Amino acid sequence: MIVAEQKPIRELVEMVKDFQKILVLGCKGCVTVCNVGGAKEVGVLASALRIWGRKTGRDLQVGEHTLERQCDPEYIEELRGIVGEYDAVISIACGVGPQFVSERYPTARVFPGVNTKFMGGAVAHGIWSERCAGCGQCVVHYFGGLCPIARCSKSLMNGPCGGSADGRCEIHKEVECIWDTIVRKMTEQGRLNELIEFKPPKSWTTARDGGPRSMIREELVK
Amino acid sequence: MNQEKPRGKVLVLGGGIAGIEAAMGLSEAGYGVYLVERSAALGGMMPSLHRIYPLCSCCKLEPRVAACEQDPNIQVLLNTTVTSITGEAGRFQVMVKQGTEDTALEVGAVLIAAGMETFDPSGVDSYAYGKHANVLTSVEYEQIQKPTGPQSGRVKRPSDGRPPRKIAWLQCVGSRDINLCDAPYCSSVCCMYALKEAVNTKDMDEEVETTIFYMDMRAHGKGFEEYLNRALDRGVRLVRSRVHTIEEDQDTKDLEIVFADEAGELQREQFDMVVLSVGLRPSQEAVDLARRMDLGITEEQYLATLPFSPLCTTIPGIYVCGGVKGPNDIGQSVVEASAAVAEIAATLAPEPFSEAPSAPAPSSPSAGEPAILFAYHLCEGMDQDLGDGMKQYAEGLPGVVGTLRVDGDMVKQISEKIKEYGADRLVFASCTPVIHKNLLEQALRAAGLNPYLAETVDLRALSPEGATVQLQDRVRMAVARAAFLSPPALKDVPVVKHALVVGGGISGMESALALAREGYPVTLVESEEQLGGHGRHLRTTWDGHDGQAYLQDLLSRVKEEERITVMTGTRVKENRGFAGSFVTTLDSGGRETTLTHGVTILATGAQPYKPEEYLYGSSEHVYLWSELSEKLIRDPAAVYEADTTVFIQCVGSRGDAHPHCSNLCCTFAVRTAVDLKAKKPEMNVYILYRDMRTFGEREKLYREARQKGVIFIRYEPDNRPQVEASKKGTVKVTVYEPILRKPVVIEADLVSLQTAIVGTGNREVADLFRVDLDQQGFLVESPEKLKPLDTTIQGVFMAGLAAFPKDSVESIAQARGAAARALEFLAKDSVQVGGLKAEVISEKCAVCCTCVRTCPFQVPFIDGSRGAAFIDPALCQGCGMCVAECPGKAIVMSMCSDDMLKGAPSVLLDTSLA
Repeated sequence: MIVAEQKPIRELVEMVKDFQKILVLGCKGCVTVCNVGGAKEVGVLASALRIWGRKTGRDLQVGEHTLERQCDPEYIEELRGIVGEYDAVISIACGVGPQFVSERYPTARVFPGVNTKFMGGAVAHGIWSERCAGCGQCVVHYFGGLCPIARCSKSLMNGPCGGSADGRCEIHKEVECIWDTIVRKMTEQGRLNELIEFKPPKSWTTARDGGPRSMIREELVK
Repeated sequence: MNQEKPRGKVLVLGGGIAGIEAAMGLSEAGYGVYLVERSAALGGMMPSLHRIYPLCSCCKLEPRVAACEQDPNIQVLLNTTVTSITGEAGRFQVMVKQGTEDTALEVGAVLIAAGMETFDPSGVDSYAYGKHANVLTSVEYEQIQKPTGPQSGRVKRPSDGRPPRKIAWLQCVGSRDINLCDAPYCSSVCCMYALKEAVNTKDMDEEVETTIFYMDMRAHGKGFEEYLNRALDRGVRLVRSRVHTIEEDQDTKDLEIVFADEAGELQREQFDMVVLSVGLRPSQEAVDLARRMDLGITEEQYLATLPFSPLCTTIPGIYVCGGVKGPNDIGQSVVEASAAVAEIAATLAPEPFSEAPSAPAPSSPSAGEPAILFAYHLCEGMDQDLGDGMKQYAEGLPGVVGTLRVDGDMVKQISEKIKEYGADRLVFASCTPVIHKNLLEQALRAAGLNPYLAETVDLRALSPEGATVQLQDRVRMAVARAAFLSPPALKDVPVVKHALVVGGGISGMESALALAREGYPVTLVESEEQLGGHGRHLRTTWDGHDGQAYLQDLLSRVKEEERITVMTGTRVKENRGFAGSFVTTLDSGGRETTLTHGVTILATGAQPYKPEEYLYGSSEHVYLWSELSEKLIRDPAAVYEADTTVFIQCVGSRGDAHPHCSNLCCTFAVRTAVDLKAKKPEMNVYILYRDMRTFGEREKLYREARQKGVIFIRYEPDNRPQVEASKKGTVKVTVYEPILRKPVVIEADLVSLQTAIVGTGNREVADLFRVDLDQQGFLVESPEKLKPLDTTIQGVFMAGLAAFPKDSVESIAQARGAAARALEFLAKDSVQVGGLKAEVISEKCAVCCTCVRTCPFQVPFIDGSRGAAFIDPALCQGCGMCVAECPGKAIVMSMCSDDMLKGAPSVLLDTSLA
């Protein structure tokens, strides 16, 4: 899933301080699952804004709405007749949401309520970890099912580097050295020799470095 | 085994608390019951009491009386006596007399619960009862203390109507007295009721001086010592002296008490009023009947029971419980009543009068505006204006369609009023309403409503300032919350007909056997490698029956019982679920088993406090009492080599670390001392004590010990005995002798330390089963009160030392009682679950696993077939964590909705948030 975190409330109120009618817009997709943008968080943020409004003597009207997803136009359509009622929309979906809303409703003022962090998963309740960098050419099978692109600080294809110590990365002791883990796992699987083989430099043309990406599947396009 | 049992009804003789409790238990188990009471009303002794210690539960009697009267399987026969019982077990013919009419009743078993009477002190000159106007019995005093009594709760002197400023209680009137009263035994309850009366007196007027003249302060029950300590803190004065004479001033009618103080000096003190703490006698009617039938009677004139079968009389098929088998308090009587049900069930199959009626299926509240009935119950002694004010206020609140003051039969009155007003919700106000929860649910069911459509108002803890406003706030809030209630889903869950007993000591094994002999499979779990627990060092019972022979017999009965699966070396690892359907993971040295069971009995025992004082652990002459007992079983000759034995009482008990009294240590010391003396009369035996608490009939052992020459020396807690190594290789015990008023030195070969019994080992199991423990680590009884065998969680019962220190015979009674409570549950085919349960709205669920991860009880899971999370209402504990955490707001709890949480405070604060 796409993992996001809420923007600080100070930053949010700074964004919307000149508006009177604000819609908080949630998404039932990834951001619900990572506990940042679902119906509950919509309610919590809306309440926080109302409290702020009262404390600062503003006559705020805060609406709450949660869409099935903010990354499909059909669901964005649901806001027709709603968006016009508000001066501003705070989307607490990932970065896709506010853009889809802005594109569909060109006059609306749309603000992001969360910072989109990474593609990853929950390793435990309340702890998320990056797993995918979206490089466009998946290589995890070479590395015991672990991705050095997303999980190595240097995205090394031939690791570990000299900064690996006690299974930790030199950039921070909290950061796991994925190459240490890869080596251990490959050893366990009796495939260490596969790591001896040199991996040529990766082509980054399929990644963000190749410019903004889009994808067309002809068989699905009418 | 079951097929061989005859079927029959049961006659219960005596309509006091023991008889009522037994009748209800029997009816629940399917028996038709004749409840025979010689007076004009059920209730026995309890209605004449003013409050009950340590926690008052007077209000629990009326609903029980009402339940007996309405139960189609209980025929209450008032003003009725039993004239004869003939026949044999399974086929008794009981002749009863009501007025002039004789009737013959056919029953399969008889339970004598005829209770007790109080001693009449009129014949004893020195108390001058009936002669001096201001000398009252304790029963009379409680009557005038009662707010509903003849003086509306205002205590006045009979001589002049003046409120007394100084009151004395005299203990042991008609107890522990062979000269004047012919009652060698201790009546067991009087110390506590005198303390209660004194504390209640202080509650009414803190300035009244209260003094209790006593011999030994016997606070040997659960919570009693703590009550005693609180009484002392309140300024209740204790004087250790047996009063000989009460003199009356002819003019003022004041009373002068002449007594010897602890220094032996004669003292005279004036009092306005003297209360005689009269002792107990078994019901004369029952004793006469027993004599006619040749039932065994003890030398103290109580009904005799069989060794290790504390509810069985000497005639099979005739059982006994409560005060007629020995001086009992209310709690013990209730325990015995339950135990008697188990005993009867063991030999008689139930024959009902009629099948139990079923409640109508609950209807949903109408869609329109909520219609609320406001009902309230006032304890006696509560300000009547409080009720009127509440009623008036409630009538003006939106949604309230009617009010009701409940007095007596709660279920019937509330259900009728609900129907009369067409109400669909209930708000109920009383002191500690949680204790009435079951009755409220019954009332709603009887009215055809969902049983959870109720909110409560607690009338407790109102501060005197602004009480009216506080009360109005609470009432307004409850009414507002009630309006937000929507009926939770109800689900019938089949009862798993299997029991889990945790703890393989005497209590655990007795419970398991009582359950198994009714045909239910039982898993008996013991953490040690063998069964037996503390039973392994039980030498004898207090009345001298062989403990080890009993234990061997018990072990072989458990072994032979094919329905019992014994798992030794096994601990409980995890428990989930709900009364009727528990799921428990058991860990036998790393190997895990999962067990589903309908009920649980916790009989996890207790541990002796291991002292660091008195040379324990460093001198071979110093024993823990359990070690001495074990030594007397395995190697008695070594013990009898001793020329001098010293017992030290209250080691670690009744102090700061363990404030409670461990109940059985005095009796243990005296029993052992008597046996040592009997075997070796020349042995010097000393017992160093604080109060001798040989309560009830155990008192005769104390007398016997003194007769045999055991020397008792009382010590004060701030001047404890000293134990030092002696040059002779033994130990030297130094103790201050209060009569000689100087220290005495005893050269002892053997010192036995009667240490505190503490519940420190219960924490783990209590947490697993989510039951509460008290500060001493013993299991707490149900908040419903007067349910001494129920823990704070439904379907989990307690027995033995885990509940509180008690001797083996009391443990056996408790174990069988707990089994009877469990049997009531197992007899049901299904339990209805619902109420405070979380429910997933599938359409809103994002299957994010938040609930799965946050539930402390591991209940929710993602159900592939639903495409959503699922929370089993039977397993849900209603904590609400998933409801709060669900990021999609897909989990709701209809008893505690967001609307309610948001809406009710607005009502309280009288604001309306946009």
